[in-house]
Amino acid sequence: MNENSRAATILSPESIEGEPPPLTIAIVGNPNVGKTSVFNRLTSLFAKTANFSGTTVERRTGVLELTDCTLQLVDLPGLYSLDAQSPDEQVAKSFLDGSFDGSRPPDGILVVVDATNLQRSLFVVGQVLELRRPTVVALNMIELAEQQGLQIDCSKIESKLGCKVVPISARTGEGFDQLRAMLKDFITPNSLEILAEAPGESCTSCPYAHGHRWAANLAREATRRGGVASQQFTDRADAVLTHPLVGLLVFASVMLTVFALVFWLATFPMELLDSVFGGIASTLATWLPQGDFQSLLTDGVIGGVGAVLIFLPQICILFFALAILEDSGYLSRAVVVVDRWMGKVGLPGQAFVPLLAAHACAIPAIMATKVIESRRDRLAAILVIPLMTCSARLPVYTIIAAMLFPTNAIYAALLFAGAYALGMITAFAVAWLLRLTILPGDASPLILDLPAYRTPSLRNSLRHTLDRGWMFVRDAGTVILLISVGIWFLSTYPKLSDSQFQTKLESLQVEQPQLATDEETENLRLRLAQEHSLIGRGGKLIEPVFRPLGFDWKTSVGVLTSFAAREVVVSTLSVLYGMGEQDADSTLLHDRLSSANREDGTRVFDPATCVSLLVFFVLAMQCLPTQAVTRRETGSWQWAFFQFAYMTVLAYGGAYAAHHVVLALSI
Amino acid sequence: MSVTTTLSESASDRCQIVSVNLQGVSAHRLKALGIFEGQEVRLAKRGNPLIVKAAGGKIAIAVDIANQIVVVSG
Repeated sequence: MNENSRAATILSPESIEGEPPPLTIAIVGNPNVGKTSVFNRLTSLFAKTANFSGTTVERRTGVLELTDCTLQLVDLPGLYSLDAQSPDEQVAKSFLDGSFDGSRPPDGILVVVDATNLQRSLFVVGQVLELRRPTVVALNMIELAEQQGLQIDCSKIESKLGCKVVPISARTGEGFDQLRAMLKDFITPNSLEILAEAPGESCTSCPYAHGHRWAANLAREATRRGGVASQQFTDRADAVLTHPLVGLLVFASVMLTVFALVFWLATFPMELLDSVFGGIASTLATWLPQGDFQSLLTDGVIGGVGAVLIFLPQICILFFALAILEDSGYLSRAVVVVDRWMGKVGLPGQAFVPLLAAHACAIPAIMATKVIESRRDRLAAILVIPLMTCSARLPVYTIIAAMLFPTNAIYAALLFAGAYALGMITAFAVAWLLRLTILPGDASPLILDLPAYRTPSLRNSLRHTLDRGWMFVRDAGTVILLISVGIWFLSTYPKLSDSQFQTKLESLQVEQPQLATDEETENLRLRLAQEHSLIGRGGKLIEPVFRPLGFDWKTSVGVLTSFAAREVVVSTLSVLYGMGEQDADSTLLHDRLSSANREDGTRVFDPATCVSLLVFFVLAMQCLPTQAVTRRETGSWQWAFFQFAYMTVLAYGGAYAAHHVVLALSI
Repeated sequence: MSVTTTLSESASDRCQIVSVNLQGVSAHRLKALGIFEGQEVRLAKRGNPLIVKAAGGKIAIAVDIANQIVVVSG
């Protein structure tokens, strides 16, 4: 590798070895101007979403293939200004001027503005032009502007800005050929000179006022009707949707619908995935010789990763629904109606949607907190999000409900509702406590741009869903894979040898002479092997810790194994309580658990233990992938650890209290 | 006749901003969205948060913030 190409590889890891790095074009613009749609239309399907290194600010990178060259497009977060006040702005500004750590400045900047609202969106154009980089301005949503009779004079704007201006529509594709041709001009350095007088220079004390006036004047001169499309529809809709009472009702019904979709629509693909993973595991089991390697692949890898990937349909539906709501402009109205209520516990209105999303899975919810600007507010939201009842808790709730109320569906439903409520109430209580202690101060008071309502774009929403779904697979998949293999290892080794089994069997058979059939012998063998393994020994060792909660050693092992993923407790209990695969269809797990007895003959899962186990799993962290995402989004393990610690303490305390309350009541 | 009040108490729907008594992130965010001294705004909805129209956009503002914005109307 010669010196040049090595430099190229360092500067741009995406470039193929030996080739010069592709020219980079940054896409800048206000939120809600369709910047992402423009990016999606220009680039191929596989864009990479990653954080700027060392920050929690996201960028999407994609490739634009032109006839004789390739450009790299970088989609920056939506910005109202380039003043380096918020983290997004700081990173965007330093990326654009080349001062960002380890990167060279982009070769050109594409600013996307909203053709239906030039006055608002030209402000950031003024700031970009001050950077004096090759710039192209794209007037997006030109078809809407034309429908509204705005008649924009592009050449006028071009002459005022001193850079190329092209009217486009990301929805119809209009103007994109011209846009591509202009982006290609970046290949000839300095072919696009910036001629315009930078709008902020003449006024140092009031650059904002000046910038806004400059934008307003330019918009007025270049269009009929002052550059702003009619807002009649938006105003009428807002009268209803931001109404303190009606707005709340609409919001509640919208969110209920989304949840109904997430849970019901996902059932079919989830069952399908389940049977696909089951199929792969059984195919592997027939192909591979029986033994440790087969068990590692089927039980460890496919069992563990499959248990998490099964939630993918729910996550995709959730992200799709949220993307549609956001694209339509509704989501910011939802923030308006809930903000005053959230403020009471020190959370911003923007935290509401992530908290709701957390009912499907905490991972996408924590990723969705990016909309919260203040770091304090964002931390508070991230810390309480895992208290919401995610889908992975449902298998645990289901088992407990079936044990407590095997015949009464209404009581079982109430138990579910109670568990959801406990999670939510605890989350708000913790947020309130955080505000009193380590995260002092009020949630940042709301200042939120309300974009005009628009027909949401199916294409964008699907693309967004694809991106987020892939991130989930990548993030959760890699960590979960490691953990699954680890747990498999711990619960497999050291192995119980035949002679050890015989010795144990003999000592047991004296006590339990009724043990007769092969099946029962095999179950006992599985059980003894579990006890013999590292994790079994660990369970025995920590049993005293969980005894006050009413857990026996097997349940304690379940708590340990589900450290990485809470739903694992079900499969652990199923193995430990003699639910080997051989009799999977003979009895239901909850029946077996219900009838399990302690050595003294009392039931293991008496009501007090059931309730205590339920409370424990409502409140405990028990999800390593979430911890990894918390680390990434907060930038340090410290917060991930704090989250784990406070939730574990809460879970232990809550389960202890619940156990004793139920014991006291039942006497 | 002109009346000086805070934005949250303004009786008139149309007013001009006299001063924004805020610092830091909130002040900056308001400016970027077009809420600054001298700007004319229209109150589109009262209550908490209230909604104003300025610089071609619609902006929801919490009452705590609106209390720090002094406007003149009439």
